Amino acid sequence: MLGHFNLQLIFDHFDLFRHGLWWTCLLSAMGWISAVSLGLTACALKLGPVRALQRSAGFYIESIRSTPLLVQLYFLYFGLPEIGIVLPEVAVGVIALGLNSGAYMAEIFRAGILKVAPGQIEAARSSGLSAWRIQRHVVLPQAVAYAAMPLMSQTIVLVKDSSLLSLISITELAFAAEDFYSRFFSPLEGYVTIALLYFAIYLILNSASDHWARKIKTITGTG
Amino acid sequence: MYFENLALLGNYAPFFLKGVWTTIWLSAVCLALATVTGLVVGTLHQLAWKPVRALITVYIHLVRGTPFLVQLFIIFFLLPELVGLELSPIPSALVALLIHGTAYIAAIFSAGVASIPKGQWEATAAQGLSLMQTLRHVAFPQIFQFVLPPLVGQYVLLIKDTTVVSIVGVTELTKSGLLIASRIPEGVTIFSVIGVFYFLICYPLVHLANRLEQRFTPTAGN
Repeated sequence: MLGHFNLQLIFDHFDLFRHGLWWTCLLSAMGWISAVSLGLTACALKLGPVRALQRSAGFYIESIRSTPLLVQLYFLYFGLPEIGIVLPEVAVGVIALGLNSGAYMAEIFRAGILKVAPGQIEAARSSGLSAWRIQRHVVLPQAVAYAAMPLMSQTIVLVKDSSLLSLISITELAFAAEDFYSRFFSPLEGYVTIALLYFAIYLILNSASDHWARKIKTITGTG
Repeated sequence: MYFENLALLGNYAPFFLKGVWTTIWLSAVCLALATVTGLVVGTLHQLAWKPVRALITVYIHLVRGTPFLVQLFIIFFLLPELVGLELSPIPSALVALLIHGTAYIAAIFSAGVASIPKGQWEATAAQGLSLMQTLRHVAFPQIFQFVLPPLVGQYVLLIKDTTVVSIVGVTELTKSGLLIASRIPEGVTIFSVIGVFYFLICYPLVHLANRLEQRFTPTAGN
């Protein structure tokens, strides 16, 4: 298998991988948007004044973080049709990705907000700023800076997690490798190719994150 | 109908518990081994000869930059080729989990060793302590509280990653659920029960990681 690693075969059928790459990017983008919206909502509820909402946001976050994505994915994939909700696989995949990463993002946003020193909020209050202005001008700008780096890490995790969607037969990058294997019966070419493509996405996101890290240092004054 | 199926599900309990057991021992073995290899690789990442450090950096990035599913398939197809025999899926799964886990744990220990100020290395060298003595008596006791919260967090992620080995045919908890779900159409019940089992394994660790973080991480402004 190693002796005849067939490069030509990869180039001849690169369309397969291009299609997969496109779907991986699209699914990740849609998953990211759902995750950020869910994360912000859950974070707001958890920090908000209503006890019951705090509890339910907490329940969502803890139960997602303590169970594997694959189980969540199968739960939705097998479970939704049983309760009469029939959705296309892509929708199920995006919901699973969004629900999963949303819980992690909620914690990231919350940690960012709580990291802002209480003394600053007290100082702002005694300077006569309204509650809204304190959030808008003191807390949120710093919270965004604190949350940016972990958010990028979670984004990288989300892109990698989208590979699990191949298991409910969504034709993304990991599915392309499987497809390649079943057509040509040589598995390594396909999996090494997609490994390199995933790695390329990682390098792009990682360098963007490093670039921001340097800018953010000037806002927060720390690492 | 539902209760009939529930009774049917009961018949699968022994099969299901076998899956639970596989998940537990697979996670335990993988965590124990990856902690040891991660400690060694992470320490070498800070202290070894430069080309070795560069190699470890590449390794960590490669593991971080690709999905575990892809790593698993590459190992699964490559390993029998390298060893020259057909293997059952379990050794492939263990090797893949170990390669994966080691990289993340090494990164944690590497950051820990890097946090020891340079002056301490110089001081212990001046006292005549060997490198091993310095690590054992000076460095590791200090980095313990620094690495513990991310380490426990990483354990949770690794336990959850063991679900992925189901796709190469290891009948652990998730796979046993999938097999049962293909016979009895009660996905909601089956995967809820499985979710509860993972929750019981992971939640205490998630909770511990949160507690450790609160205890050991200084907040801004203090």
